[in-house]
Amino acid sequence: VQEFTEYVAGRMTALRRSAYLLCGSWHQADDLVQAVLADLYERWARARRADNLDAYVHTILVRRYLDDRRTGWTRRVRLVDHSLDRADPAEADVFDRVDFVTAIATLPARQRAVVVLRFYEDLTVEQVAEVLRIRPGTVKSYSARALDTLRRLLDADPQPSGDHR
Amino acid sequence: VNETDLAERFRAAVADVPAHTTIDVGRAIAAGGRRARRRRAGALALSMLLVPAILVGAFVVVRGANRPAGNGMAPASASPSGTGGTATSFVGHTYVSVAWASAGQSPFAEPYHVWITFDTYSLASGPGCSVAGSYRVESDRLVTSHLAIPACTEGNGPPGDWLASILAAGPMWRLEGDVLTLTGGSDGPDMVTMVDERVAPMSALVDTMSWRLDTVIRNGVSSPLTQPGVPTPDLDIGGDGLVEVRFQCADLVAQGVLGDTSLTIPRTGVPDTTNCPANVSQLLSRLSDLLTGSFAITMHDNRLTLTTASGSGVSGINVGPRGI
Repeated sequence: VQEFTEYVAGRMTALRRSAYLLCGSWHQADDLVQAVLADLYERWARARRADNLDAYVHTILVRRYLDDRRTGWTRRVRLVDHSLDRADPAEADVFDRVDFVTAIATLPARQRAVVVLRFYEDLTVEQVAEVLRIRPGTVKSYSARALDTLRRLLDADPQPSGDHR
Repeated sequence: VNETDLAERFRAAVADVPAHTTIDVGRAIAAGGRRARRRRAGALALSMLLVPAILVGAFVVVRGANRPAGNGMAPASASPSGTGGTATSFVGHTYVSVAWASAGQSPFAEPYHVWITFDTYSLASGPGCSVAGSYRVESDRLVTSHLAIPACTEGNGPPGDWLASILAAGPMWRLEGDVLTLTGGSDGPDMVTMVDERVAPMSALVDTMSWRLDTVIRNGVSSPLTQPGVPTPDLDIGGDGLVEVRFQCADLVAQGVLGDTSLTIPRTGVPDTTNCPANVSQLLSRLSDLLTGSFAITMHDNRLTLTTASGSGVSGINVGPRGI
């Protein structure tokens, strides 16, 4: 238990960040991480022997997110995207940040998972394919489609303060 | 937005992590520990059932091996694939995939449904990345030729690709009642289990597929849903009965009850249409009204139709696996 607790304490922030980028809301991110930690503890005897424990845990996180998105409570209770965290638009860079997260949240879950793994976690196409249990070609096409969507949403969306990035 | 820019935006988006969190490590340890104990108990119970079964099986095999060879004929081989039905049994039938396997294990969290229809000498699959070609049956193998395999696009691609790979390999086939199993292929899953569409559960057919809503039905009369300048929405129905009509600016979402051939939607959620053009908002409102009630579900020629007893409803064409 102590080893698990120490590991989790050291990785908590990273897990919450990844979960936030997937879920688009800190509340849902915390719920996701809570579920992942239970999953991880259930498999801790095997997980601690993994070659790359961080990768193992992030794999659990992404798969749990996709499973929840497909069948879990997050799908059942969502009516609209009110759950997205909103920030004070008076702060231009914060507004831009929220706008980006909102744009990410419009992507279908698998595309979102692909771009988070590819461009935030910096995994290779092959590693993403392994995490999502899909083929590398599918990762590439998900990624291309997600980038197209983000370009359409972000490049065409004027910032209210004129403070473009 | 380029890839480098995206990485920077991701980092900026999570630069500030809220100090407050609802995560409770102690609760996770308690929940994970409970599940681990249940799993160990289940494995123990299973092994207690399996060990006697294996011993009995071994005893039967040993007894069989000690029997005389009989009339001098070669011993019967294990029942080959292709038995359990005749090749003509699946001619004229359409089968829907319900499970994929790779090296004996299910490679996906989702079933990925594709159709395959067998005519006397030809076959065709769908939706999305469709495969078509000729086939003949040689004993336990389905030998295909002249397969037309289109370049598969993302979204529709993987299941069609996998089926193409299995078909191109000249798969072994086995038909047991309404269940057809094809085994072969080297790229992706190597086995697909399919059931005759006449007996396939509706939840398996509608789940994982997206339907482009292009038709509304009022009093039994169909009319196009599409209006100039209004994007055509996609409809998803989950196996758990969750119904989603998705526009780019807003979603209609409702928790329905999915039966074998019916779908009951008590009401759809009221979407936030502040980001929607006026014509889309109007369309959402109309669809919200239309998609309330008890619907019969029918599927024909890749088209899903939901109709109430009074003859109202919607219809949409299959556009492949949904991009959940």
